[in-house]
This record gives sequence, C-alpha cells and structure tokens, in this order.
Amino acid sequence: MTTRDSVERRAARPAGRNGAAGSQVRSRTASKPPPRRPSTRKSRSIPFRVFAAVVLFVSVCLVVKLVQVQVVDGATYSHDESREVEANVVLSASRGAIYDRTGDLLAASAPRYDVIADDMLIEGPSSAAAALAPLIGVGQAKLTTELSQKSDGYVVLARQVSSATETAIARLNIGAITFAGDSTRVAPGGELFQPLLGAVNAAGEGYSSLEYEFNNVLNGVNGREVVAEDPAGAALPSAAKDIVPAKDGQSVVLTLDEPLQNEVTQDLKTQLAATKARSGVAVIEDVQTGDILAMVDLVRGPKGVIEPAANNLALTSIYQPGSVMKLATIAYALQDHLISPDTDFVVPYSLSVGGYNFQDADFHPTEVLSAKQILAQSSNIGVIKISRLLGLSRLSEALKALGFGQATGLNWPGESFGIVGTPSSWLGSSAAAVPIGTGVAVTPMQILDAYNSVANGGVFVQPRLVAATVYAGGIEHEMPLAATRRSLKASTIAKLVPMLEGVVCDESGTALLARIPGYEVAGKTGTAQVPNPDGAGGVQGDWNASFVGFVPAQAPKLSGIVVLNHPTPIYGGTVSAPVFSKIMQYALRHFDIPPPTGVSAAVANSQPNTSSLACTPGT
Amino acid sequence: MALPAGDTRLVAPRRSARQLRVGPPTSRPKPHQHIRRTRLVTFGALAIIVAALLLVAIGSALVVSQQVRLDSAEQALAATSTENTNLQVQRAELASPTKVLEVAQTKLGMVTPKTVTYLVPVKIGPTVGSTSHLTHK
Repeated sequence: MTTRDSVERRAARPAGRNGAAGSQVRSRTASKPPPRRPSTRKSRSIPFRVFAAVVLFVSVCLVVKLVQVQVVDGATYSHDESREVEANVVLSASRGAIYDRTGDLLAASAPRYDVIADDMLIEGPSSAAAALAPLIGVGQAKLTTELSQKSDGYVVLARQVSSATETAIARLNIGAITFAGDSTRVAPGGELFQPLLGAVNAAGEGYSSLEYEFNNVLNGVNGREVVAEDPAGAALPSAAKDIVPAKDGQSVVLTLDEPLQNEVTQDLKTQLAATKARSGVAVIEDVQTGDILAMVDLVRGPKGVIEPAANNLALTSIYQPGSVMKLATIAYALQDHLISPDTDFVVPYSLSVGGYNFQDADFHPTEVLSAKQILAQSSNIGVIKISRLLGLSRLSEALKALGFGQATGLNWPGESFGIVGTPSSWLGSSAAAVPIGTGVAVTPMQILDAYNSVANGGVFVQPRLVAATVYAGGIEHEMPLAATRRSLKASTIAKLVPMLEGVVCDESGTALLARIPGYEVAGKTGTAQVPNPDGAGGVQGDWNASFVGFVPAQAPKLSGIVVLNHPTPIYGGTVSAPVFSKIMQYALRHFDIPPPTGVSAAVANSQPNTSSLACTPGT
Repeated sequence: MALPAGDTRLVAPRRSARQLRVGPPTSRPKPHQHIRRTRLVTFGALAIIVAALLLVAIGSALVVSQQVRLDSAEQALAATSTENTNLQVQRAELASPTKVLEVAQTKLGMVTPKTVTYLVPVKIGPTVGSTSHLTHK
C-alpha cells in the first residue's frame, strides 16, 4: 500500500470510531463527508485505459486478421499449405512368390538398389572408388573416372545390387552416395524352371509363361497415402492421411516337384548330350489328379550348350508324333469290338494308300501278327489295316475323345492345339497316315494326356500345374481339380493295358529299354520324320523320337513322356525309352511307390535290361 | 418535530430512496471488491488460456514424438521384411537341388555311382526281425 493511500484512508476514516458514543455523534455531525474515491481512480485509470484501449485495439485487429486468415481465406491457405507440404505417395504392393508342391521357393521378388553418386559433391573420388570397387564389381579406374567427371551430379555406379551390398556401401559413410530402391524377380533354383516360370519385366509385369498367365493373381494392388514433406522431400513427422493400404499379390503353389524336376533335367540333359539331339522335352504327371510333377524343356544353344528352352515346348511346340498315335486306332477298334488283342492280321512290309507307299520300319516278309504284336512291334501296316476296320469317322472321334486337337486346359500362353483335322479335311493318304501318327501334329502334352487317360482307367483328367494360391495372410486357396470325363470304357482299358505292357515286355517289343526293375511298365514308342516344310515327305535325317508310358502298369501312379528332336540314333525305343526308365526309377523312389504285390522277388540292377526279372507283364 | 436551526445532531443524513432499501450488506460489492474480482477473473481466464495452450503444445509435442517413433517402427518393419525376403531367397538358393549337388560334388567329394542296386520287396514270409528273435532263442 502506498503512503498516499494510507493517508487518504486515514482521512476518510470516521473520527469517532475510536472514541465514545457521544463523541461519535459529535464527530458525525462535525465531520465532512469522505472524499469520493472515483476522483482518485479516474486520475489513475487514464494510462491504464489508454493501455487497455491499445491492447483491445490490437486484439481486435488480431481477431479480425485471424478471422480473415482462418475463415475468409482459410480454404485458400489450407489448399496452398497442402500443395506445398503434402505429397501423394504410392504404397507398392509386393508381387507374390511361386512355390513348388512342397513349399520350396521357386521365384520371388527381392529388393534391389541402384547406387548413385553425386560427382559434384563427392570428396576424394579416388579413395571412394577404391572402397566401392570391390563391392559393386566395377574397376577402380573406371569408378575414379566416373566420380571425377563433375558433370551433372548424377552418376549411376551400379544397378540392381543386393540389400547386403547396399548395407555394406552405406557403412562406408561415403558422402554423396545415395540409393534408388528397385525390385527384381529372382529364381533361387536357377534355370531349373525357367521355361515354366517365365520372366517379369522392369515394371513388375509378367510377360511369359506362368508369370504372364498368373499375372493378375501374382500382382497386388498398389495403395496410396498423403504424407507431409519438407521442400527437400524429407518426410515430416506427421501422420499420413487418406491411407489406402496396398494389397499384396497372392503366391502361387505349383504341382511341380523341385527334386524331380532337377533329376529329369539332369537325365534329359545327359541324353541330349549323348544323342546330339537338338532339343528335348520330358513331362511327368500324376495319373489320378493330372498334376504335372515335372516339366522340362531343353534345347541345344547356338554354341552347342544345352540350356533351358525359351518357352515351354511341351505345350507350345507341335510335332509329328509317329507311332505313339497308334493308341487311338487300337483303343477304339478294341472298344468297338472290331478286334481283340489276339485278332490276327496278315501284315506285308509295305502298302500303298492314296498314291503313297507306306511301309514298316524294318523289312520283313508278309507275316501274320496279332493285334497285340502289331502294337508291340509298332507295325505301321498292321495299324493301317486295323484303321480300315475302324473307319475315318470313328478314328476322328477317337482322336477327339483322347484330347487331340484341343486345348489341354492349362490355358498356357501360346499353347498350340495341334493340327489334327477332320475326315472332311483329310487327303486320300490320310486314311493311312493319321492312324500311324503322320500327317498330324500334336504337342507332347496332348500325347501324355491321352496315355494318362488310359492309365487312369479310361477317365480323361485335365492336367493341372497350379495346386493352390496363397493370400498374403497365409490363407491357402486350393485350386479345384478339373472335371473328368470318360474317354475309353473300362473293358477297353482291361485289354489295352496288357497290349501296352507288351511294347515294353515282349522280346519283340520296341521299348525294351523302358523297363524298370521290379515294376511293370506300359507305354509306346514313336519315331517320326520331321515334315518337309517345302513339300511332301520329311526332312532327311531329321527325326523325332518319343516314348510315353505309365507305371506301375497294373496300378498306374505316374505317367510320363520323353521326346527328343533330331537324336542319333533316331528311334524312340533307343533314345527316349531309357530316359523314361531312369526318370521313373527316381520318381518311384521319390514318391515311395512300391511295386504291386505279387511281383517276383528280385535284386535287380538299375540299368534297364531285357531280363525277365525286370519285366513281368500281367498278361 | 422541527429542530432548531443549526442543530443537526440528531438529523440523519439525507438518503435517496435507493439508499433506503433494505437488504444484505454484501449484495452490492464495494468498488474495490469489484475491481479485485474483475482482476481475479481476468487473471483466472488468462491462466486457463495459458494452461490450455500449454496443454495443446504438450499434446502436439507428444503426437510428434509418437509419430517419430511410429515412423521409426515402420522403417524397422520394412527393413525386417526386406531382410526376411532376402533370407528366404538365400535359403531357397542353398536348398535347391542344383546347389546341393554342386556342393556335394565339388566340396564334399560326392561321386555318383554308376549302378544302383534296389531291393525289391519279397513275398510275405519270415521277417528279418522274427528270424533274429528265433536265433537268439
């Protein structure tokens, strides 16, 4: 309290307050009314009021400005701020992986980085080059030159380096080195599945084989979000908004088996090298489900090196199959009760049909052969005689029932349906050519499907290459098995299978080298000349050799086909059958398929042989 | 009763009608109390505003710091995911039959046998185990 206040208060205090009642009355009557305080406050409040007025004015101005900024021009400022600070960011969805039937990784997208240097800012180009050279595999001298050129501040030192390399470079703490993130498709198994898996382009889109066929499944859907960034592009610590999360692609589980694929590849590669064949195809299929367990396509490269084919030859390449097509004629002749396995035919060495001379592979005098012997010895003339009984119309129906001239159901990119034709389009000689597998063109997969239906008791089952798809969360969606249809009667199969066993087991059969110790094998060889593109006949010395069959013959579990192009020697029974035998021996062990009970006890050598121990047909 | 002129001892001071109203003495605060109360309210309001602003500032700081932690966690998650992918690829490369065969042949000295002998199941009869059991007896 100030001195002035105390004086005034004392003056304003009633005089009689401290005295007696009488004096109190006196003092009241004698004293003057106390001075009014307002006069004093007025004198003190002038500067206060001026200050308050200024503050009020400033406050009002601020409020007005605030209203202008927040309300009147708020939308404009907000928009400008968003434009300056906010950035739309794409959230990349990762592409799904591809697995084999046991979950082994076959293809996946892995992060990769481009190493970029700012040559305007880098200090000590020589020392930086010395440190970087061993990591990115570029010569030190070249790196020094690139880092010293002082051009535009953007020098790509290396592309697609791995995460480990990126981490190692980052630990060097070299200034002016940055990384641009990227992704690449890697196949841990190397070239083993290359024709099947296909390739992915730089944009992450599959453009061949499975990567193309299942592109929509494997590819996810990119998301997006709006984040705050400073003018330099650095993220500001604020929550992202308008988030649309990325949806990762599904993974695909194939029916293929990696160890079997490797074995088939090695065996086929060895045979290609041994027979000097130009290309080879081998496919193994599960008889009941149609699951493709192995599918190998090899070619001899320009320098003679055997390498994976550029595409899946088993589905995209058609060829003149030869005797493996005799199945259709024999099967339908049996089904129509035109023949039985023991029906005899007089078979000359050659026969003229439609102006063309057809003959058997090896010269023989006119002889009497049963239908079973005709198939076992692969007599062209015998089959032509049987086809005459069958007729072209029924032959066409047989080809259709067994899946020739149609898609396999795999929906493979670039799949060929083959060239089979119809009776109306067939020439005069076709009556003899088509039954023995000339004058038509099919894919190896179509041949295998036809024999697989025989192995499956006459029930045709579409092949399957994808077993399941797996969502990003791990939920597996199994692909349903394709609908089946009956292609041949069970009674026909009962007669046909022993005939096909005879091809392997009969001493006069053409596929003795397809035998598997302890197991019964049924199948058929095929040897056909490559058609001459410039006219009739075939290309001299250019043959396709095939063997297709299934094991165990009496309770089939696996079917397979081996096709070699331009081998030496040329016969399917000589070059393709032993590969089939070797592959199937591995597959039978691999899948724990025991021989059927009742098979003779034997300790047999793995080398295919003609001993009776290795072949015990069910007869 | 009229008082003599000049005698003002017992004369009450003249009051207006408003001053004669009867009521509690505290119903109308005195001027200095009014000012004090105004100041109190003003300071209180200011204190509340400052406290509110302080709370907002603290809240914002907390949000930013948590956002930084969240960003850091997301980066760690992305890095771990990348590492996981790399390890899966590396594992698949090491487990591929081609690689295994290469290592077996080049580093471990494996030689593929030229012939393999398979034991084909025999007809049902005395097993090895039962034969051994009888022998021990």
